[in-house]
Amino acid sequence: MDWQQLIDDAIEPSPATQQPVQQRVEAGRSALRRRRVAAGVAGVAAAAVVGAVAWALPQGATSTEPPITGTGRATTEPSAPTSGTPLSKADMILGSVDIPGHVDAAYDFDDGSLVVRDGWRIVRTVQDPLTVAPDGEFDPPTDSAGLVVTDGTDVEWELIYWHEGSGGSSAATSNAAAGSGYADFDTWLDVQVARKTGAWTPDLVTGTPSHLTLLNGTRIIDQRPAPELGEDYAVAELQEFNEQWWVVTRPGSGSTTEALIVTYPFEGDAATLDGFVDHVRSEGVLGGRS
Amino acid sequence: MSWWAPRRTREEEYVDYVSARQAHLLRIAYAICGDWHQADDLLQLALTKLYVAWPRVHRDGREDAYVRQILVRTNIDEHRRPWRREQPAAETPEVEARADLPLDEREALFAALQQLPPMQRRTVLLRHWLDLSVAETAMELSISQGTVKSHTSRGLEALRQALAEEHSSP
Repeated sequence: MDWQQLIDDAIEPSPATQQPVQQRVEAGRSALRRRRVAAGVAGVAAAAVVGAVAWALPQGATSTEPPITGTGRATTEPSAPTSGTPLSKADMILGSVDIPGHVDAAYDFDDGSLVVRDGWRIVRTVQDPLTVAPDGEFDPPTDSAGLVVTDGTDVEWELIYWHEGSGGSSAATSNAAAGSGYADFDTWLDVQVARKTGAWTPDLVTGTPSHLTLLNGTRIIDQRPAPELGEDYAVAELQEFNEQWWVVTRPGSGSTTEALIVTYPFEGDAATLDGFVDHVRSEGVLGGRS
Repeated sequence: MSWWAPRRTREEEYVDYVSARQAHLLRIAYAICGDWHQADDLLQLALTKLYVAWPRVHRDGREDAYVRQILVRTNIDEHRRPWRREQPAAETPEVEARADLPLDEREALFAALQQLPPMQRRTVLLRHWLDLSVAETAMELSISQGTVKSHTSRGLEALRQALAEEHSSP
C-alpha cells in the first residue's frame, strides 16, 4: 500500500488564493520591531550607565528575599545588573513567543548582555540551565540563566535565554511573592527547563479520583472513575506539550491523589480510557498495589 | 557585465521562500488540524516566527523544517480546545478537484486521519506523507524513536481499517 500517495490524495490541495506574501512580511516586521524596541531600550540604557554600574550591585541577599534552596548547580550570588531605564512592560515581547506579564531582567537582543530593569537587582543566578535546544528551536541557546530578581519588595523568578547570531531571547517568569505553587526557586527552575525542553512529566496534586486537578499546565483530556480496578480508583488521559499520558489514580495521603501508573505511550489496542483500563487489567500491572 | 552583485536583503530572501513554499506549508497545516482557517492561523504564526529567526534558519537551510516544527508543536496546544473555531460552510475555500482516489475513499481516509490521536496523526504525516525518517520525525516531535514507531504503527492500522470499511460498505 503506497501510503504517501493515498494520504496525498486524501488531503485537499491548498486553496488557489492565499494570503498575500506582503501580509506575511508585515506580520514578521511587526514582531521583529516589537523585539527590537524592547531590547533597544534596554541596550541604550545599559550603555548610558557604563562605568556607573557599581552603585546598583547588591552585596548579598537581604531578609526580604524568599528562601532559596540549593541543588548543586553553579550559581552566582549576586550577578551584576547592567542597566537603568525602565523597560516597557507592554512592549516586552522577547524571542518567538509573547510573554504574559513581564520580565525584569533579560538578555539584550543584539549582543546577549544581561540587562535589568531600573530599581531591580539580581540576587541569584543559575548559569546555563538550558543545555539542550528549547522547544521550537534547533540549537541550544548561546546563553541561559535562571534568575532571582527583586526590587526590594517583590521577588521574581526568571528563566531567560539567548541565541547568538539570530538575536532574540526568550523568558519564562513567575512572581514568587504572588505564590507560584512551587516550594522554591530550584523546583520552579527545574520545571521551566523541563517545559522548555519537552522533558516535563505530569504533576498530580489534588482532587478526588474522579475529578483530578493538575498543576503546571498539564491538561486533562478525559477521565473517569475506574471501580473495576479498585475502590476509589480512576483513570485519566493527560496532555502536556507533545506528550500524552495515561494514569491510574487513587486517593493518597491527606487531600492528595496518588498516581499509581503513569505511562506513555499507551501500548494497548485502543487509545481510549476503556482500552487503557483493559490494558491495566489484562497486564496485571497494578500487581498487589490495589 | 559587472562581477559584483548586490547582496539580497533578508526580506527578498524571505519573500522568495514564502512565495514558493506557502501553498505546500498551508497544506501541511491543514493536514495537521483539518480546518483551513485554523491552518492559515497556524501558518501565519509559524511564518512570523520564521521571519524573526530568518538569518539563522536560512543560513542553515532549515526553513521547511523550522516551519514544520512550529506547525506540529503549536497545533498540539490548540488541539481539543473548546473554542476551536468551526468553519462556516459559506467560507469554505475553493479547492481544485482531485481525481486520483475516489471521492468517498478520499473523504473516509481524511476523516480517519483527523480522528487519529494527535501524536499518531503527526507521526503518520511526517513519516508516510512527508517522508521524514524515524529519527527526523522523533526530533521534530521531541519524542523517542520507539514512540514514533509505535504511534505510526497504530496510526496506519487505524487508516487501514477505515479504508477497509469504506471498501466493504455498499
